[in-house]
Amino acid sequence: MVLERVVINVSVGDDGTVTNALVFNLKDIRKLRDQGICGVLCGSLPTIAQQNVFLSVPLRLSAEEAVWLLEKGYAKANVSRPSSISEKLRDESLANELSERAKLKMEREFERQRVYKREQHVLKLRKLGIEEKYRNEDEQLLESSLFYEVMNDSTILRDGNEVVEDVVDRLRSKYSRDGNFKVFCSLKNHGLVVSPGARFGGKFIVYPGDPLRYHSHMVVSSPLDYRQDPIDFRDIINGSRLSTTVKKIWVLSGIDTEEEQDEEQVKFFSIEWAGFG
Amino acid sequence: MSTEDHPQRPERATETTSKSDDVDEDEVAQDWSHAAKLSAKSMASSIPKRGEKDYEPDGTNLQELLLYRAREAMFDTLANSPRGSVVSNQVKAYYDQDYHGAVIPHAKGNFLQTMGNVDEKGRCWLKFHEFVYLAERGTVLPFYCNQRPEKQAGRFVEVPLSMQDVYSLFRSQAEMDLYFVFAHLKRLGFIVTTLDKKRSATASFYLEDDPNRRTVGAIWGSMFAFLKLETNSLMNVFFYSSWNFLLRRYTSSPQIYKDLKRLVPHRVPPKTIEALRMERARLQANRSKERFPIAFNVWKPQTRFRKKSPGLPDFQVVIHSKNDAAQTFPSYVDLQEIFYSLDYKFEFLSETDDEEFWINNTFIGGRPANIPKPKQGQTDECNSSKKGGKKDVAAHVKQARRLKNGYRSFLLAIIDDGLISFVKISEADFGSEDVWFIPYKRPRDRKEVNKSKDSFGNKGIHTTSLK
Repeated sequence: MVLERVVINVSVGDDGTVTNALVFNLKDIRKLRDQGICGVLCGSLPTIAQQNVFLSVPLRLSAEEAVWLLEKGYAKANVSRPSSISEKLRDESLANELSERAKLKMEREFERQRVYKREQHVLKLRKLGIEEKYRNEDEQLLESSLFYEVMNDSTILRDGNEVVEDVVDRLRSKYSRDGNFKVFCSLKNHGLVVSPGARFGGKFIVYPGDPLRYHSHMVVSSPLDYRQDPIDFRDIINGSRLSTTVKKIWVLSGIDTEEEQDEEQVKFFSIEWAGFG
Repeated sequence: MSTEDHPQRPERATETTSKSDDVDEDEVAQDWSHAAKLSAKSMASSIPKRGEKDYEPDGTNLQELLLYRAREAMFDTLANSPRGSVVSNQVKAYYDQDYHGAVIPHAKGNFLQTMGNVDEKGRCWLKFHEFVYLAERGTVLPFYCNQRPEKQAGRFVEVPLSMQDVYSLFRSQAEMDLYFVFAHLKRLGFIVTTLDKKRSATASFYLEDDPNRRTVGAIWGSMFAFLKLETNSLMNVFFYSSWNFLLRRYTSSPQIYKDLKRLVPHRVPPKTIEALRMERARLQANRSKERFPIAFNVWKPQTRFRKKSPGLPDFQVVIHSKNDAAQTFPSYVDLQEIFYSLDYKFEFLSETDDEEFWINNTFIGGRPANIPKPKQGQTDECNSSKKGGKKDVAAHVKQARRLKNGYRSFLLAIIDDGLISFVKISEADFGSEDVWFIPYKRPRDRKEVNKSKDSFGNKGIHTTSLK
């Protein structure tokens, strides 16, 4: 099965650095989920806007996730600049066209809503046994109750964007440590789902499957240099005690640059606070 | 997501919001897969609990089915919560590139109470993060137009923006992170503002915050503060000598502890109004550019909030992006820099949450702020309810509280790829507290303490006459 590539959106800021990749399309988010890339939903959910548990698009991907998707060919990057929109809309004919198209679309949508609402109204009246007749105030009420929807996906930025070749490099420069990506890849190769882990004092937390249904088992620390870095005893105590109380295992990770294969370079050690004796 | 597929969707949404008011909470918790139809209240009660997840995939069909259902529930919710507003409530906001924000020609709505600036022409100007937030929850409709709407009314072309368009307008990752923290706090109901660059217009705890006027005070203050700070701690090291043991006789362990304490130099953070103002005056002079500027002033949810005279904020928030390769966690120097620049309701100064106290200690541009005092009835009620619970606490409990809460504090919002953790960082003063011993505890006092303990039974509230 050939998968259509998911579009991830990055914006190159005024200072030349890229923002984190965002995904706005629900179908794309679903595809990513099938790949075990969950990201973090960040936007307010309009129907229940006063809470932080259930959030909506955009889906924010970490730098590791974005690079992994791009390198594996699962995704392509749609690059824009903060000024992209104004530059495009400076072209008046395009602006006119988009504006007209939006109006048409809105009218069509409104008409659909009107038809539906009238139908519902008639059904309701029939149920109550009231004879239907045309009333002007009903129409006015109906007009004012039509719903105008703000889209998630852009029609302006959809195509004809500048191609920035070094997106991957720019995203890579966002890694807080060099080894992060190797650790991420290694965890992905084990079929695990990886998500940000600062809440548990690690770099990543790892799920055996979709976080919607499975508990996470591991807190993975930021990678150390396997040959050089000392392991701080306090880190082991802190990490393992915290992880054990939240029913996880503390995983130390290290990068051994003397190994030739990338896959071999990543080393893991699991530490559990045993409370023995 | 296209509208064509779901012609009836908006109706469904409006229908459910009206219906949801009378849906019982118990009823709701049973079927999590209908999350899209629930209101905020019932939604909160149906957040999946710990035990509802499985340990790991075991390859059974049952698990597959459960996972499938969970995913469907999630995507249904996302697809069925349209963003936008009905025609009668619609408020159009136009992005303005020069201002990097949005302008609303005819603003209406509750959000005006805490957001936006209305100019003399009656237009409301939203800052960019306010614009994104309001557009995202469907309160305003985001538009782009070639000219400002009031110019050439005949010719201007408005193009509706999608959420993707709006997000593409962020100028940097830092600005986006700032927005995420803002939106997170707003969704929790807090009142959040960014710090205004024109400091003279904003409420301040400090009398003289104007850099041009502080010179005399600064010099005077720095001389004075030097004496005050250093005698407390650092100098003691020089005055200590091993001869002390020959010259002095220790008759009790508190004496030993006290002398040991002198050995360890410590810095005493400012704890009183005078100390705070002194330190501010002393350090205003040589301020470099902050690496961690205060991002937000935050007020607890309140109905009496006024944009024009908000008073001192309850919290201040600093943002740190953990995964940004260019950033490091604030160092000690950074933290001190942040502490110096704090300017909020220093809650440790006033034991009760006394409004009068804060009104009297708020200044705008060096002059007392004219914040309208709350009505008599309200203050009384507020004070009396707080006083009863807070005032009469045993000394050791107070000490524990002081050590735990510290003095000046701020919230550090740590961003980890979209997940935000808030950490409260405060200045504590272990050096000045006698943790290991109780100084000068006379038997008479001890008796009093015990007696009061008895009278309160096991409630855990201790009163004491030590004062």
